[in-house]
Amino acid sequence: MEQLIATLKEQLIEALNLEETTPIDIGDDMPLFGEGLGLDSIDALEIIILLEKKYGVKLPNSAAARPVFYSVRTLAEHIEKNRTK
Amino acid sequence: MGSEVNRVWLGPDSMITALGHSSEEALSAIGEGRTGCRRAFDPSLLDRPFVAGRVDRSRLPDLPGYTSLERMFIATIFSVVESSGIDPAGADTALVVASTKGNIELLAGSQAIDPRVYLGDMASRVAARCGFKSPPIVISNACISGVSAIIVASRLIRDRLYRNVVVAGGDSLTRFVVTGFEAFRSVSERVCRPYDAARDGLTLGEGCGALLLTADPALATRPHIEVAGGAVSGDANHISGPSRTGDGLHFALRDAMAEADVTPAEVGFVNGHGTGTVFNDEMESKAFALSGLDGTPVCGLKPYFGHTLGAAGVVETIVSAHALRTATIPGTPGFETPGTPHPLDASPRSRPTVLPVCVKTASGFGGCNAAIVLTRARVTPLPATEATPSNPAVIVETATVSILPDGRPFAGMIRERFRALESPDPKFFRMDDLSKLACVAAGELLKNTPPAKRTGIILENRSASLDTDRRHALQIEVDDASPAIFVYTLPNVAAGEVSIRHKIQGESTFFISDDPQAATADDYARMLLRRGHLDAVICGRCELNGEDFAAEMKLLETR
Repeated sequence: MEQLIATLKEQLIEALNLEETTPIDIGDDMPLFGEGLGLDSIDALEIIILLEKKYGVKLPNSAAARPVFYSVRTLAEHIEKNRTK
Repeated sequence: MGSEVNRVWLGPDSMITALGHSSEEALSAIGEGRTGCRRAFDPSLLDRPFVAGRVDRSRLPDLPGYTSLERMFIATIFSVVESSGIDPAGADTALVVASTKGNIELLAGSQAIDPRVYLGDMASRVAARCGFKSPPIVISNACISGVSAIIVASRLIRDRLYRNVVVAGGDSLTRFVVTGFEAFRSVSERVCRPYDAARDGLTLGEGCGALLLTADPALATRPHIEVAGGAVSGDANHISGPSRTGDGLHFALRDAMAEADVTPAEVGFVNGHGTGTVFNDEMESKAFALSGLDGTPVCGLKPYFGHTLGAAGVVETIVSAHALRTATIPGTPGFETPGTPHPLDASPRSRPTVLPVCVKTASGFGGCNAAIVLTRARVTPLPATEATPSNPAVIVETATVSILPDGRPFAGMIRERFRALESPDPKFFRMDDLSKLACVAAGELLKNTPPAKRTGIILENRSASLDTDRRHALQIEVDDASPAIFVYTLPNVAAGEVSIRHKIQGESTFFISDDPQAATADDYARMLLRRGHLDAVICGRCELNGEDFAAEMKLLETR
């Protein structure tokens, strides 16, 4: 899980063009949206694409899926449970 | 300029859409509640079947050397010119062309740029083929392009710069656009259902609409319909997500109705943008409520045509004008149950209306909104838009900025100038280069001056968003589209990014001009200031294609 979290942080930085951010800046439990990292709706779409491409996890862009996006840890936990790659 | 203004009448119109190759065919289908959107499989567009409003290309006039989109433009413009009898070569006659992506299907990511990809090139050849002598005015402002073009044209006539202006808006279905919208997960598997509780996304379409705006009532189609008011505004919230409050669209509605001197109670119906996405329609319901229009009948035309992007504003205005002439509000196919926070009064069937006024709205990426008011045969003339002011407004250039190549790569240069602004911006590096250029230029212009309450952004360039267009075209050659790239394939999004950073909610309009010496943006900005639409404008040229870039912008203010 720790390795997945570390890898995920690097993948997020690359996929979302977070040029001024390093993995150390992203807390495992830091909110990704709103406050915390301050990601937006376009970033959410990019994360959905990332999960599908790298881990074979399909996520709908819906309110029901929102808790998965809360933090890197919640994303990692969801990936761990559902990954097909 | 004085207090005299020309009234702006609607003359003949023409359209080519999924509903047929004339306005008559489309209006007949709408009257019968027939939609033109179909599911089809075209692997050149997408790797799976999808629903869209497609034009029957076999019916387009045979014009060798012109793309399908150009043939649509030429056919509809020619029809309007012929029906009206205007002389397109006249010095008092102009053509305004609206398109989001023009001939973008000619852009292959890795090869040399086909010159026809440039919107100015496309518009010039279309204009020449149709007999126009004045260079066309080209607007590329996302989904509001068509309504923007009508507003710009009406102001040119009002200001007596032209007597006749043909407005033509068009876009075609391309792999470029279809894959981009799919990346946003905002496309419905079925025909869109604007304002309905079960709505789940938009339906794309294509086509072209052309419409004559004229100062000459003898050329007006009967019963006379007048463009009585129009306004453009910005959300200053997000470049793709609609405003959560609807305040931007509300400002456009408020200002358009004020110019037309109508109250919400006098409006017979609102023809909204109605894409059928959850968030757009929700935003519109909030905006209508803020504007006092929540009790007003509403219709959404996109189930008939699909979302025709650059054509939408013109095609849907033509239908609205016809609706006013026949006192019949078009039905909104697929509407069953109100599904917005403020329930909207839409109906799947057409309804009569006794009121001689309607409003047409549009909203688009970049957070832009536009609204126009159409009125039927008003007996008393409009009050003079402004009396001759005793102290005519003086327009002052309070700041200028120039960002030109200096030998260093753009990336390093822009980072340095961004840092010098000392204005932290965590999202700066996620924007595309055109937006970074516009934001640094605007940041320098506004460094010592917070923007005036009513500030606008009027920009122009030759290459639109070509730099990012190429990135998206390359991306879709090898992989799925990226929403973070696709959203920037519209030049006005750069203005949108500026508006978000500085909370600027006035008009933003993006012109395309081939001539680097053209001062279209500057001239139009001055008109807006003279006419009191705005108190300040950030205007000028903002161009970027790889390492070939130039931002020459100024801040104009009235004193």
